[in-house]
Amino acid sequence: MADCSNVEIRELLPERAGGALSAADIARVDAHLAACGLCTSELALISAARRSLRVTPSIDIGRISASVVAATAAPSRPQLVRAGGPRPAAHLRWIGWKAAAAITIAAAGIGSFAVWHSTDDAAAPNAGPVAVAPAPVAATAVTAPQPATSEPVLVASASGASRPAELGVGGGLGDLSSSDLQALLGDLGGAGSVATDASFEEPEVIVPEVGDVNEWGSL
Amino acid sequence: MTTPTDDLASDATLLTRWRSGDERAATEIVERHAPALARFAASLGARSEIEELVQDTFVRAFGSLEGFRGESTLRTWLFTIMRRLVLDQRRARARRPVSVPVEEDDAVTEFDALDGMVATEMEQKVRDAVGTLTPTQREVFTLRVMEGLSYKEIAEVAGTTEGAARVHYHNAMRAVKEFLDG
Repeated sequence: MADCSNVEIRELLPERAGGALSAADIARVDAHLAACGLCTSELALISAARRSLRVTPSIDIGRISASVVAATAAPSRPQLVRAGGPRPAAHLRWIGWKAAAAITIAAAGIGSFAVWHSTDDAAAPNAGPVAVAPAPVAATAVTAPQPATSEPVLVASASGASRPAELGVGGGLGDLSSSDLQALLGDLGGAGSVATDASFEEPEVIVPEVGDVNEWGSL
Repeated sequence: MTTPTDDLASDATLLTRWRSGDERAATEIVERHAPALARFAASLGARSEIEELVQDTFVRAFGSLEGFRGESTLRTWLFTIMRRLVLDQRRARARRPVSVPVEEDDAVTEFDALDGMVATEMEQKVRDAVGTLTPTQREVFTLRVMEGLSYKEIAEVAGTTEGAARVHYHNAMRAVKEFLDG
């Protein structure tokens, strides 16, 4: 089977067999075929090849489709994010984060407040050797002049509370002599009448009472 | 009659739908192109793993669809991906040190998967003739005759030039004619 010398027409034969030519090209090719046995034979060969190769190997298109959709439906597709806005799950996650942050902040605040007060309140009944105020506050809150003797002094807390204490910084009951201890007990009994300076103008607000201690101590 | 222009428009529409989140468009794309890909896989010598190859081709294609700029048709691009997968598979097999004993099934031609079809004598002869072609000739012949790809598209798929694709096709056609004449 020889080849036709009309290369232009021969190049169109596969498209002619596949029905992919325009009407004008079909007319041109068919006009040539009517007079050319070589091209007619080649077109018959191509048509036979198309029929013989048309059989598609057995594949499960439904299964392939499902696998492809499952593999490509990942949230990494940016179009989904742009078109649909935040997904519900993401929205819920955002609310969850905000709620968690709020709870954390609230818990930290309450915890700090409770620790602060439990420290303050625990110091009075136990009268333990506790530094009750940070250095700057302690430096300005000593309201009673330090006597030459080791008499107890009033020390203000950071909140401005004044209460009786044996406390110099780092001191404790164990450091007191029996006479000092007696004096301290006497002062504790009259703590409400202890003279203060101008920085303690509202003692009724800040003097701890038994009820307060219990309330905060329960935290 | 479906023209290549119609195919282009349909593929473009489906891709637009898929990009906007319509997953049914992916299914339609698979249904539209899977048979051609399966035939192409067979022409490349694939046998039992054809379905897996088709699936992997689509998964890889959809995974990198942002890189598809529409400079070629979607079908050409899919063929290119599948061809690369087949070559990778062959290279991987070639590197395997395990020697597999040759069994009777391995001695048959790559087109034996099509043996179940009912064919006329002419079709059977043509199939036999195609089976004698070199792998490159068979690939080009199948893409040109069966899938209707242009030489430019065949060159893209096969990673060669348009002129080389044309030469491979005409050599294949001559070889088939000679087989039929003999």
